[in-house]
Amino acid sequence: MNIKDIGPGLQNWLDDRFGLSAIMDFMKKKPVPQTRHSIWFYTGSSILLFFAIQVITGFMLILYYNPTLDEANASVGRIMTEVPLGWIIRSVHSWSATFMIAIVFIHMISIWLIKSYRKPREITWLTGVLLLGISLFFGFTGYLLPWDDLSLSATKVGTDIPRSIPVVGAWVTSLLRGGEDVTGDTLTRFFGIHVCILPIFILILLAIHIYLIQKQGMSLPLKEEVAKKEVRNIPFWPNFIYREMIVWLILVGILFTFAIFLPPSLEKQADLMAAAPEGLKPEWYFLFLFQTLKIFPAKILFFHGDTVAVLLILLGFLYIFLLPFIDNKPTEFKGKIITWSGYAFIIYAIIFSVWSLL
Amino acid sequence: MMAKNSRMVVCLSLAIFLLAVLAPASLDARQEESAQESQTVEKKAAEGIQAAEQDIAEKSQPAEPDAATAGQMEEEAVETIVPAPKNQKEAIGIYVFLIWIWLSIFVLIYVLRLKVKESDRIYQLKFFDK
Amino acid sequence: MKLKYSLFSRRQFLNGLLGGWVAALMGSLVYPVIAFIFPPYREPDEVILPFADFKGMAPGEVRTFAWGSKPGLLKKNEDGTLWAFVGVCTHLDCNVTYLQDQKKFFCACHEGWYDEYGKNIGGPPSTPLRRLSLVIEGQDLIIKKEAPE
Repeated sequence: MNIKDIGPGLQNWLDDRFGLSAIMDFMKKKPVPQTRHSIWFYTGSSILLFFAIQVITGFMLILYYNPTLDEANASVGRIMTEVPLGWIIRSVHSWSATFMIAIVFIHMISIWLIKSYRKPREITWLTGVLLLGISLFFGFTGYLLPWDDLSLSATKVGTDIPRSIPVVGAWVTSLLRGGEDVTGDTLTRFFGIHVCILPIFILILLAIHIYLIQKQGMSLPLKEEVAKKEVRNIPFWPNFIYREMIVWLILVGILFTFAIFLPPSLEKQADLMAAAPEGLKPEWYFLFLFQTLKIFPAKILFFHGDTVAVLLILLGFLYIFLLPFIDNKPTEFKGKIITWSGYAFIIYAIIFSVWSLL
Repeated sequence: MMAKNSRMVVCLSLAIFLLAVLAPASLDARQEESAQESQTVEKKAAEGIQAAEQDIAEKSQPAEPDAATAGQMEEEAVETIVPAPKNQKEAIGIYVFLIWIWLSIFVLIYVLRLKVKESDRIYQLKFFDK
Repeated sequence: MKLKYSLFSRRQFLNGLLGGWVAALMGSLVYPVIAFIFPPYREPDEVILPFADFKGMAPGEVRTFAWGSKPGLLKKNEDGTLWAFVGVCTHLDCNVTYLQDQKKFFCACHEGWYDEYGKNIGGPPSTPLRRLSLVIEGQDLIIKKEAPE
């Protein structure tokens, strides 16, 4: 038996039992259209790459993290000072979160603008928007875990916002906080959500999302579909995978460089009785929402300003969520307005984010 | 003939693999002793000043690894903990690791680009179709 | 020396280079993971205790002190000398206790017995209790890792 027979031998042994060669055949035949917009196809697998990095670094961090009020900050401090290379692992986890959420936004907006959510891909879009929500919730819950002054105050503000929703507001806030205020119970709750509840949901939604993409194939941009031109395809395996690997390598390089040269530091343990620190702001992906809430006056006519603001934000979220159903005539003028709303969202998000930093 | 080639390939890749794994390990083994010393409460003046300067507001400043040769062991629970390598050896190890990563990235991208061209050419020639 | 035929084709070389280098890259990432997940805490090299805590010991008395996260046992022998042991059974790591009336160390987990000098005399333990070296410097009692003589 030759060394080089081991590989195929093992493959055949597994294939006789799992029947995975069907998957390989599928991947070899799956066509990936090469159009002007095909560059956006790389965003999907990049998200998976960063999610995988989050899971691995998360597994490592959880070995040392202590999710109790007294020990949370100290345990993160130990990770950063006593555990070998702990500060790098934490830094990678923190930066990979940023990169993942950034690419999720890019992914969503690219699909919004080229309208890939058209029939039959509506559910793919719905699961995708939910995945965005879960990713943001991951970031929000993870931010509290080091339990320092900044993260405590950011969580206080963040969990206070739902209170402005009429009828259910106070209930949502107390559900998030595990009580009236942000306390050790909030930390316990956020930890459980971050490491157990959300991972299960994200895996389920990812499975649906990815299955639908494989089943329905890659979409064509509206123009190509309308013109019914012949589009050049390349097979997923190995042609597209090789290209994806190049993108992954570059992203990993950038991630490691950022993680090593710009690692997050750790402030001292949060003091529940202290005043809010100055310069309080949430993570960058919430900045534009933060600023939106800030610009509303305290009262508009009979309503509280923040109630109006929160309802507007919820309305915006609902609009994005139901986009495939709102955009039922993509080739007509309505379709063009919806495309412009996508650009408007980008401009709004960037301007408001920058504004909140000034 | 073919058997010899595959054996050479396997041996070569094993050698590179072992080198990549053992080299940082030996580097770190030498650090372990000095790491133990810096584990005991040792505050250097430079560190203290650095800590005072970086109190509170600054969230993202790392001490650049060579500046952090002063070690960063923030034993005081009250101060901000600024992440940095424990000692010069670890700092050098991290730099070497980063250079290795980027070198690998360039080499692998070069090879992958060749593979992309090859697979595209094969596909165009319809090599695998009947 | 020129070969008549190539050892491998250009395609094989590139495939080998790609696979091998990716394997090396993954290998170099394995090392930081391993370094991280194996706990860095070790036994202390030495422990410094205030001698005052152990001055009034009667012969045959045993007091505990912290040896890292393990119990250390400080015993005053009949002849007045002080010995220090790591109070952990050499069988399967349970904590031992000193039975003063019997002048023996006893491990309750599997009924292991050691005599008053830590030598294993009954039950499963196959080696004596680990001894630590002891030095008195002024006000301090310094206990170090290596056993004497």
